[in-house]
Amino acid sequence: MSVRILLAEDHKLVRQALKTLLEPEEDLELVGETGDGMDVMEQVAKHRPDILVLDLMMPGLNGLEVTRRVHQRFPKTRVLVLSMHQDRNYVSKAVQNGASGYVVKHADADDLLRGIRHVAAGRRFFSAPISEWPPESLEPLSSESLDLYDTLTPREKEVLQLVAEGHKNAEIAKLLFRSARTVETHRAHIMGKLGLKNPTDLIRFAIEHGLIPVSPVSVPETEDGSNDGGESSP
Amino acid sequence: MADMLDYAGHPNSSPTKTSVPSAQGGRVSVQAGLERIAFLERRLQALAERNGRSAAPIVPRRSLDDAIDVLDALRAEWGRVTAECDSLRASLARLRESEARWRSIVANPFDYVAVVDRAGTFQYVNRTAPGIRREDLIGRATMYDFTFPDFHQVTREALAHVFDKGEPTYFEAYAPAPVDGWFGTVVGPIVDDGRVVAASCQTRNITAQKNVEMALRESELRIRQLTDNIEDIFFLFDTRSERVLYVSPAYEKIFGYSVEALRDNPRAWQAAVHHDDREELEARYAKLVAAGAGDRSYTFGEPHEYRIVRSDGAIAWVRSRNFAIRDATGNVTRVAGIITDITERRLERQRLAEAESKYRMLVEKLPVISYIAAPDDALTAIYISPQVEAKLGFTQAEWTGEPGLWRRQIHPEDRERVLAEVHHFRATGEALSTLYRLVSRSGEVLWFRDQAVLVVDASGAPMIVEGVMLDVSEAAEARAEQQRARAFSARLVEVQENERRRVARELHDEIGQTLTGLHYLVQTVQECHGEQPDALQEARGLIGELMRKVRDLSLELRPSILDDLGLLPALLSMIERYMNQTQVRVTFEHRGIERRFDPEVETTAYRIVQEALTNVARHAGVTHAKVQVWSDAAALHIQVTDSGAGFDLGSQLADNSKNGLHGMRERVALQRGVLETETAPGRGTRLTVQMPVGSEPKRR
Repeated sequence: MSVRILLAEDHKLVRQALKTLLEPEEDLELVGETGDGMDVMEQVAKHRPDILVLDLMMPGLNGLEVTRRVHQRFPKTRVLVLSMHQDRNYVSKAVQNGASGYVVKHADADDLLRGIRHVAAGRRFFSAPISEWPPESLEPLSSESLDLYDTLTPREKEVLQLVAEGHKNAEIAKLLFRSARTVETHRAHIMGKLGLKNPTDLIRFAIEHGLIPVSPVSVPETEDGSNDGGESSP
Repeated sequence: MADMLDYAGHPNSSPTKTSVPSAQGGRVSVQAGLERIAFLERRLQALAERNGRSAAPIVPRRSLDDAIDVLDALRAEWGRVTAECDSLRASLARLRESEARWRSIVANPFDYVAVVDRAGTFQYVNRTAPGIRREDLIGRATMYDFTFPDFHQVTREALAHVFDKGEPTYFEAYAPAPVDGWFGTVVGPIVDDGRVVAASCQTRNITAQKNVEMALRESELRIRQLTDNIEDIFFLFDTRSERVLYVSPAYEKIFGYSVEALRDNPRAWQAAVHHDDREELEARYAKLVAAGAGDRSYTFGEPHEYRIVRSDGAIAWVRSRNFAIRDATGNVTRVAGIITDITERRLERQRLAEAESKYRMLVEKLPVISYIAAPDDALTAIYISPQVEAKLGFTQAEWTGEPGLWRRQIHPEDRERVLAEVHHFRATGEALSTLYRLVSRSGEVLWFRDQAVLVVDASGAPMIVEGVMLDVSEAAEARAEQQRARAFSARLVEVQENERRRVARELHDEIGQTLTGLHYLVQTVQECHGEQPDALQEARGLIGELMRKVRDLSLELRPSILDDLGLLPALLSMIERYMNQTQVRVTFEHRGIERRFDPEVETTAYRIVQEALTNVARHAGVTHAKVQVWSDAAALHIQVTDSGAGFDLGSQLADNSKNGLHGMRERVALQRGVLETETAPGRGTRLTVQMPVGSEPKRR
């Protein structure tokens, strides 16, 4: 039983080349073709192909979105992405949306045919160089890695610490040998960077980051070392 | 004191011995006269009897003549006696009168009358004070017993005066209990045979007068202390004698002349008044004195300011307030007044007036329109400087006279905004600074920078609005030009991005796809023919190379990933490529940017990071850079830090083309964001960008 293929590719020349490529293969049957993203769903509904060979760049509806919809509504139709992009974000996104394979267009034609057969057999397929990537690179985008405290400059960290400890701008200016105006600017930057609206937010931030003890009464000063954002610069 | 002496006649004037002086020296008693007359009568009777018995004259003629002489002498003598008797009667009458007067003096209920000797011992008293017996006084007590020791000396002196000089005198002394009071005593000599034998004392209780007198003196002292020490001149002028009764010492300080000189010559006052002010001062004085009294005993004059020429020639300003004092009949007897030196005040006022005039000149000559307005929503003008007419064609009177004028002349496109700003200004009291257009009377549209402050009273309630309107039409035009330039710049950025996007897509979709097609076709041809000509294989290689180049070029121009997947994937992709192409390791930290932002924000953020990293690779000479991108509800933040060479910000800013800093700034400004660069040679570079973001945009 041959593999039934729907070809979704907006560029005529490429479509023509692919058809030419598939024609000699007896186990592969081209059941339909389309060049419009919006039309893909209709064609899938109509032909119920085993494999959808899909270009990510399509007018009408983005290939990634088509992948998601097809995977949701026609889980039996497996999606093999054929794309110019070899960026892992695309690959990762396509996989997340339900693609079973990803073949870059500049790969050898054999890769495409092999990919179709692999995916039809229920396996995943990635052409070179994707196949050489570590598996985790295809996992969802790396999670948030930024600690807001680290966005502060060493000077801003000093000012934040002193503000959190309840010092007035004028006092901080004296302690740091800076003008009150400079301190005010630092303070405005801190508030801006940390997205804080008022002094209460600032205190809360300082407590959450262990800059000041939760309760100055119950926690001895010597234990004030739970600074998870790193110490102020030397 | 003199009237005390006058109030009753002095006893010295009364005779103390009854004696009638005889005529022609010798003394003839009445009895002797009568005896002589009786003798003569007897002789004449005898002569008459003898002459009657004989016809011949019995008495010789000579004897009769004698008789006649005697009778003549007798008649004369008689007349003398009679006159003497009359004189005696008159003398007695006088004596009686004198006695009556004495009696009245001695018996009067007010005075004690006594006769004392040189030692002051009482010889006689008319009555005694209650509780003192007459017999205890006469011959026993002295005046000193009834005089407070402090006054013994005065008493002694008074008695000595009377006894030694024979003249009366008066003294006052305080008598202790049981009499207890002030007494005034007139002491006079009692003379016998030209010798002072005793002294008469007439003593009156003067405690009440004395108290009044002391109270008056005390009161006067107080007033004098007050008037002597005030810095103002207080004066009292007698209109009848035209003398200065009193003038406080401040006169000397203010006028520079001595008080004595004024006492000697009251006209010195008028002479000191500046001759230009003299006439009016005198007119006012005349008016004050002549004014109708009404029921009051005082008439106040209007305060009046005039100049005086001090003794040192300096001109001083004084302020005078006079009042006329009337006696019981309503006639002005005295004029009192207070004169204050106001030279300093006057100078101060003058300085203020000068300052005011200077300020006014400034306000009215400066090329700005100043105004004072009521703190209402229409800012109803109370004052507007005259420049308004030249600028807007409305007169000052028109501008302040028509409450809604300002509001009406605001350009319709600006009106709602400006009124809202004014409302906010009034509500918060924050200074107003706004830019808007006003339409002049002739229809010309002018741009004004209007700045105003709210003036509040002590309780914080708004009183007035003070403001200035500066015609900034030229500046506004320049600004508009700048805005057009900025809009053009924005358009340029947009066009550039669109063009890049278009070219990138063209490359990717058309060239890339065509190459892809070619790529597959060549492979198909190779498979079909089995032969493997080198040329075909070479073509295949070239096609692959071309595809890669097209792909890279497309990415470089405009990564479709930014449109397709958003900022975070685009940045990840870009940084990965960047690290592949350079020696720089990048630490990328992010938070809250998996969402989608406005395409312009995404593009800007992407370009900023791209440009900053390009700079790091090109200039910093470091192996590590840190990229931090995060967002909160309000803003998207980007911070790119390296520890490299840094640069002199000033010089780099001047050379915009080199590092794209200017371009970055421009792009950020277009997103109403802020870009800050911290750098110094050798101290690395930190680029911080903050751009406002809205909620997640809808995607097509």
